[in-house]
Amino acid sequence: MLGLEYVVDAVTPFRLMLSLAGVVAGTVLGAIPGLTATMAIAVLVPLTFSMDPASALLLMGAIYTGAIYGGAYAAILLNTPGTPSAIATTFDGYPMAKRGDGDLAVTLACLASVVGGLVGAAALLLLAPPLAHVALAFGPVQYFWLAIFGLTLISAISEGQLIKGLIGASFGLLLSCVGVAPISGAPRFTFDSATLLGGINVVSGLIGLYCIPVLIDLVARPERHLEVTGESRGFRLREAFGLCCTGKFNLLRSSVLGTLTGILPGAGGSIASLVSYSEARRASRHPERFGKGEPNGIQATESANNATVGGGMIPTLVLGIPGTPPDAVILGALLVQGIHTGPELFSSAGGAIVYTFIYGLFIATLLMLPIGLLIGRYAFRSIVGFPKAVLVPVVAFMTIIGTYAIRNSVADVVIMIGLGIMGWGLDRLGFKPSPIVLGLILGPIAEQGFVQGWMIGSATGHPVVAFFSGPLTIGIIALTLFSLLYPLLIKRLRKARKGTGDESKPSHL
Amino acid sequence: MKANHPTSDRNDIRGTLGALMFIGVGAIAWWSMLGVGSASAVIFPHVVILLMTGFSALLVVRNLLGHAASEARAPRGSVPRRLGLLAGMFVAALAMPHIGFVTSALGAYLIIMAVAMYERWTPLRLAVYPLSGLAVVLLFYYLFDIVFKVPLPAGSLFG
Repeated sequence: MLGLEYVVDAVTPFRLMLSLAGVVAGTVLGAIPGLTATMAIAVLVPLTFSMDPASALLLMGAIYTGAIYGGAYAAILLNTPGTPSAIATTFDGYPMAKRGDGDLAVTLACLASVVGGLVGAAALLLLAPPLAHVALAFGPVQYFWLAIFGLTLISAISEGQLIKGLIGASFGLLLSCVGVAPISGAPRFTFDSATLLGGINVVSGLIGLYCIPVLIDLVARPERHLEVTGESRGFRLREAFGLCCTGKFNLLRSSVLGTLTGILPGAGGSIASLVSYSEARRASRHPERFGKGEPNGIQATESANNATVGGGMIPTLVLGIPGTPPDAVILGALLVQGIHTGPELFSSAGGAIVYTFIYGLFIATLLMLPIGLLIGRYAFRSIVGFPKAVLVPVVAFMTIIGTYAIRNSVADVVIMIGLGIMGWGLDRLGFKPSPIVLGLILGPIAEQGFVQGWMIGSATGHPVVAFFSGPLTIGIIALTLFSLLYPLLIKRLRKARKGTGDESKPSHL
Repeated sequence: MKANHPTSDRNDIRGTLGALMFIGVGAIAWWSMLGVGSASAVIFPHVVILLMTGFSALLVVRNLLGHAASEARAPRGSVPRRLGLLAGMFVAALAMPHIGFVTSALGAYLIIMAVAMYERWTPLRLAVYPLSGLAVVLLFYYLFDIVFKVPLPAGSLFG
């Protein structure tokens, strides 16, 4: 049932070496802004063609795992998500690094990624066939509401500035509309420019809005980029482990949420980390600390995005529907190998491939702990120790080449720099970049779901009703409203309790 | 000392200006959608524009009524250095198709390095810092062009 006999196949010296190499390559590539996990796998896929299917799958899984984790380095140390799934890691990672806890943040990210990766792999091992059918229950309307649910995170990241957050998110949604419309193919907001027809790439937007403002401020002042408290230790494993133990429910909840989001085709690590971050903040006793360097925020996002690796493989292997963009590349590579995905892959015939891969994924995730800590230590020391005259041009150069490499387009680089200048200016006006990026990421999912849902509803004569019917839809709407109103409710409740306490005090006296 | 503190903007004048700018952006975006015939291409942007301008108007009204809550910060630090950084990046991007990736990247690296230099130039730094740039540019060129097969511009002037 669990294919335990294939554990031995996953730990042969050759496959252990593949796992190690995959995790190292993935971590390094994921740390470079602009190189996403999808790109990291895509460029290394040709290497797998000469391998047996299980080894090929294992190598791709290891690269994927490493790349998702690697995105956290740049997010924490440079405020630039190395991969889109690390976007929410910037919210607390960078503030931690700024106050001198960058090494702790990197270590926490590593531990959380390992936990998330293991939970995702366990779900793939134990629950793949039943969970895969959850994905099929999601239609356009549910995807629309899922995107709206992701947008409720604005209330979490716009502390005291909700209206500005909502304006920023609307602007991000508008930016996501630039280019060709997803359903009809009509060009929008292109102003007759061929360059804008392709739209604004999400990764270019991320790099521009997050990294360029940091560079603009970094170059303008002589102070060090990051504070270092006392002796630079590189990693603080004991402290990070203690934080993970106290935040174990947060870790587990975020890992489960990440796995479930990974199962939904197209949702991916960015939405998983955003949703988990939102839930971690909602459930926290100190939601006001989120966005200011709260370790639980990093644990939530990093465990969730690594859980999508196993979660995304569930529909990929059981239904042949890629759960996340990198899964689409892996699926393509499997087809080249002549492997046909489906439930029979888990039966005796295909068991050798799939179970060897799953146990290999466990091993790759565990290998990420020493590798991640080691690379993280050097990344932290490099960023802290580099003189500004070297750090600034290196980061600026990486943003340029990373953006160019996405679509081999100079126009994307110019758009990226332009968005960066705009983001810096808007920050000066009090409009933070995070809501804009949220809108940019969630816009295409929201629009596609909205337009398709509207068309389906129109066909039945009730377009509005289509958006508010069905138990799954109602469930997501309820969750969205709960997520939005929960901070207000808690605030009111605490105020009321405080009031009651104050009133009752004199009577006790 | 005073310059190190964020400038006070209790009435959130910057936020009001930003909101008015977003209303303007909304108006331009709505105008640019007038020529789009497909209803399915128009419906979502229209909803988004209405939301953006609606929230912006709400912010303006809130600030005018004196309920502003501003966190806006005035920029600190050197403006010429900021402009130098952006100029270096733009030059690299725009010159890339003409003089090639390596030349433009190296040029931009040197410009930005000079702009970001706060230490005293010593002979050692003068030798090591530009060499570090050369090493980084060539390493990434090898990684992207040779390993990942990303076609980096060779430069029309040299072609």
